[in-house]
Amino acid sequence: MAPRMIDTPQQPTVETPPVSNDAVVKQRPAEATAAGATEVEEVEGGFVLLNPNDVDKEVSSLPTEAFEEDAMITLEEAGYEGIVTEEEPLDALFASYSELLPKARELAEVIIGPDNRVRILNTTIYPWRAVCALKITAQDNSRWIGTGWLISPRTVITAGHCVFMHDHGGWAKSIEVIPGLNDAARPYKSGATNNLRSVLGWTQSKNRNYDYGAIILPQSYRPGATTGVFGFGVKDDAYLRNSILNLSGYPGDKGGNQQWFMALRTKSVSARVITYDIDTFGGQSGAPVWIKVGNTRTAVGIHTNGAATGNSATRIVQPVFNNLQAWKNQGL
Amino acid sequence: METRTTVKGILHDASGRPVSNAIVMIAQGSHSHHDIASVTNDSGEFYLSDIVVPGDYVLLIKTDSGSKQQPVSLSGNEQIQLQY
Repeated sequence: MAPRMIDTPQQPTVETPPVSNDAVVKQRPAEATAAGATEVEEVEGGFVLLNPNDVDKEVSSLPTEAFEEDAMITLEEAGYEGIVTEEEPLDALFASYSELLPKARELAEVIIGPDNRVRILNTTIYPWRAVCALKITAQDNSRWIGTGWLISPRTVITAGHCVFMHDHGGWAKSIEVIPGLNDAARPYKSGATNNLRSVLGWTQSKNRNYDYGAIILPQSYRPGATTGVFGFGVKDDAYLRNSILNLSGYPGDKGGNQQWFMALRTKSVSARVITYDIDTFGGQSGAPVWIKVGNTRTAVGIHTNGAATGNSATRIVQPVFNNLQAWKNQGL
Repeated sequence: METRTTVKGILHDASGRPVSNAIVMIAQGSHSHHDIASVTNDSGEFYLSDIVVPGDYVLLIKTDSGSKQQPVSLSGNEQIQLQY
């Protein structure tokens, strides 16, 4: 079945997932601890085989701390709507890192079944305003679109392949971050930078399990102080399997300037990847995958891939959490 | 043998002129792919980055005037020519 491409506006925009009270109860943490031997990662494409202890080692696009003041459009600062970052107990920290699913052998769709995405018509409401459109220029001057999300006034989390593109010169030349972009409207203006972060597991090993990174915006552009930010946390397998996942981003099939949202229960969970049938399209790489309990929102993954067997996110496990926390502090 | 590579393409209109500022992405595919989308430059050039070849894909081209899907079968050695 072909993906639905009809660009029909839909009524949004309540984030509350379509879930019964029973299902909400099931979102309560059932933290379980798993322990196991760490496996050597499968290395794709002839990239460097890293020591498992090094895969989450932080790397930066800039050699020193003298990397501020890039091109920007400044924003007046307003009150800070802080969202508490949950520091949940970790699970499966050193569990084996197996591949999630076998590759699909037959054609299938990124839009899985009917397209159930909903457009966010008002992107000035939290949490939508903390979701950012990314306009990426690679070192070879190729241009791309992606999605990111604010975790501190100046820190935007996204996919590793949005900040470091192996076949296009490595670190992106520049990324423009546009929180709450809504067609031509930029309610929080925008800022651009080449101050980027990722980890060796991505930049050197190009391993899907470590496909995550960050954008540190210039000192003079602090959109997260106005928009509020996402919390993030580590959740165990049982918790994630019983959760409704929310995902919102800027899909290219809608032009890349509109925010579209969908929520659905988790399909499967592995040590480093969360898989779901939430409909996505090119341009949503880097989008937040979060759970909502009451008024608390906790990002648990970073959307990265489309696939026949389910779209997927890099899971926030403890080493990922630690890096996000460090990058958050760099963008205060 | 399957491998990952980046494939370059060129988008042009019916008269052969390059189409710039179009968004090109994978709509369907036989393999997992990054959910990032390429924007064509003034020469109509775009990329499908880090995709598995050989493989069958359906590309979606989005412009200000609409969208179009086009199936492609990629070996990894070719340059794609798309018409919008």
